[in-house]
Amino acid sequence: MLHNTRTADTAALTVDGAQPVWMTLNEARERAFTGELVFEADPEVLAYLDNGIVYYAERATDVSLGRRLLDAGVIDIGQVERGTVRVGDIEHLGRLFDRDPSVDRDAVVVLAETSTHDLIAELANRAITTVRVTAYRHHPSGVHRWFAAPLDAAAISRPVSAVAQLGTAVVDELPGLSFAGTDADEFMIEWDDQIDETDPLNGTPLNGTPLTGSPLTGPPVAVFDEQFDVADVGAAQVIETVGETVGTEPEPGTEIDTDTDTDLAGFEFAVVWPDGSEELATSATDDTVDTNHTNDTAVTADASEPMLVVGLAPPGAVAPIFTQSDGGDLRFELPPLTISDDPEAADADVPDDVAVAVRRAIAAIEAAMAATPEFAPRPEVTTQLPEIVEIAPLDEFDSVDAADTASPAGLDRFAPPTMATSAEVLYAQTADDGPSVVAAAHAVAAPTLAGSPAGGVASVVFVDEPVEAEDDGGIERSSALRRLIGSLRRKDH
Amino acid sequence: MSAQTFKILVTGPFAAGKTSMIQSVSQTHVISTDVVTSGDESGVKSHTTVAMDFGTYRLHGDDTRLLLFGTPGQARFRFMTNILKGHVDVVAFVIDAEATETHAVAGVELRALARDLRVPAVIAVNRCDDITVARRLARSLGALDGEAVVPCQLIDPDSGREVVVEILLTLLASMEPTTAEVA
Repeated sequence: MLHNTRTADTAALTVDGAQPVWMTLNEARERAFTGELVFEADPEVLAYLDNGIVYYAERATDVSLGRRLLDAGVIDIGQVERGTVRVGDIEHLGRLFDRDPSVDRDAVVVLAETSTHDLIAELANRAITTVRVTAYRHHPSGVHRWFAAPLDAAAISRPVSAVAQLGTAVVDELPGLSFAGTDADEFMIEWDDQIDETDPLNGTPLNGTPLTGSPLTGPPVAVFDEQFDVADVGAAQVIETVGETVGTEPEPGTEIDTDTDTDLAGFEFAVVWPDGSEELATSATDDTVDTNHTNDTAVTADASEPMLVVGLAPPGAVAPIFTQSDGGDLRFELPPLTISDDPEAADADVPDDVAVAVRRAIAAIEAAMAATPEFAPRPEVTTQLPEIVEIAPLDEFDSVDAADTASPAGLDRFAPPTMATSAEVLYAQTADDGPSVVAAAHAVAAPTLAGSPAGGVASVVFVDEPVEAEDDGGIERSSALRRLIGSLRRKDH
Repeated sequence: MSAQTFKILVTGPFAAGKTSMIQSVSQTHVISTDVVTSGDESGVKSHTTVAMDFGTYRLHGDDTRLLLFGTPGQARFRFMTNILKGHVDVVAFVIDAEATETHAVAGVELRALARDLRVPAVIAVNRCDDITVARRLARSLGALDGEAVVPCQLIDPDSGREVVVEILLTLLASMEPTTAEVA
């Protein structure tokens, strides 16, 4: 109980002294409180909130909701009997509309809303000292089920364009998403309205389709309480109708199973293409639709114009509209694409300070990276082998006179080593050019001695591994890293 | 001697000390994309990073440089970590040991980070002096056996510099086997 005190660390509602009820309700709304508030007035008033919104309120002395509905004449005793679930002492009206489709839902809901509003309005300006707070306690009649609030609009409109790059962990973090159980392998929509358990066209039972409700009495299509954005389906967001929510969480990269063979085979709806043409499609997975139009609408720009590829529509992008006409026909309208050359268009919904900050960071990083020295590209290895130079025959070797008699003229004929004669280059050549070059490489590496009877080998180059160049780079990098560590340790910067 | 550049990605949950760590070593003014916080975040700190922090450190008379990239801490910006982690040499994950309310989110982020990480990672446990406590916390959040854990006080620039040294030592250790193989 909250009694002129602040709750310790529960971040719950607080009442500091007597304060008007509206202030308490305001606080509850700010905190998106869900549960029961009991205002200790005379008599006590109980208010039930969902996500900060009062959906039902009554005095403690009021008669039961079912009785009030009967007294008001919006339902009869038969409907109450059929619509009430009794388990022990519990009389649950939450499934009233599911169990008895003849109940006038609007009338029932309006009555409950009106009585709630009247009571809250009467109470709003009264100062009440004591408020008992019980989170997540709902009205025992199950009326909460009638008013289950739609998901947080902010959560639905949360940008999802980046989610596909992220992993499921990110999706898990998004607030307000309700997910189907892990064993749910079907992409399932649970409608708020009654759905026939038989195929709407041929009357055969829908095998294994988890549908609920009694036989359908209306047209053979589900009736939507409100439009919903089909783009959200593609973006693995949550589909919702008022009163019921069922989500799905296909992981990025996994395929959403939208196969409707079992439950919507032959289901007809109209597709309105951006050019205004209308086409009757027979199912959501119709191959004709997929192959003939999906790609067309994805990229339809002129070759001379910037191309806009539309995959899963991000927020704010062109999104198909799913509507239902009065006759029950469903239309799936694809608005025309608009292509903008304006580079600022994408930033339209980004706060200015954020955009400026990002641009500043990018500019700074680009400047820093530009200061990094660029290296000349590595010389391309050519297949042309260096000229083979025959070494002059050796004279009698005289260790004593050799130095003195060595003539500079002899050096003139010696081909100095070049980059092209390095072992690494030769090895790379042999690897690239095959066996025929290997022999040539050996010829270069082992020049024959002129005058030698057997064409003796002057020297042999052994190449162990082709990774020596990388090795040098690795050592150099390690060395640089060590210098960096040493510098940081000295704190001399 | 060729120029060498080492890149460190500093990531972690909101208000863990990432920006402080970068500021502790950066010789250049840290390019910060901080903006004024709003909502519940404003109760924690006044400004927060929305794009990235960027700091540099360069050896005198040398082309060796260290670039430090700091990501925003909010979960909604986590995609940036996923992008950046593929382009750096080593990753530092910063956790505030005393901000226990962030640990659940930190665990999610750490596991997401480690899922396909191909570079070494170091876990810096801020506001913690005990290596045992730091290791226990890191393990509880999903740190792997081989990952280095460093307790630190990032409010102190010296501590931040020591963390960066540990990060570079971890990077060096990951490079050494390669060097040894070909030596």
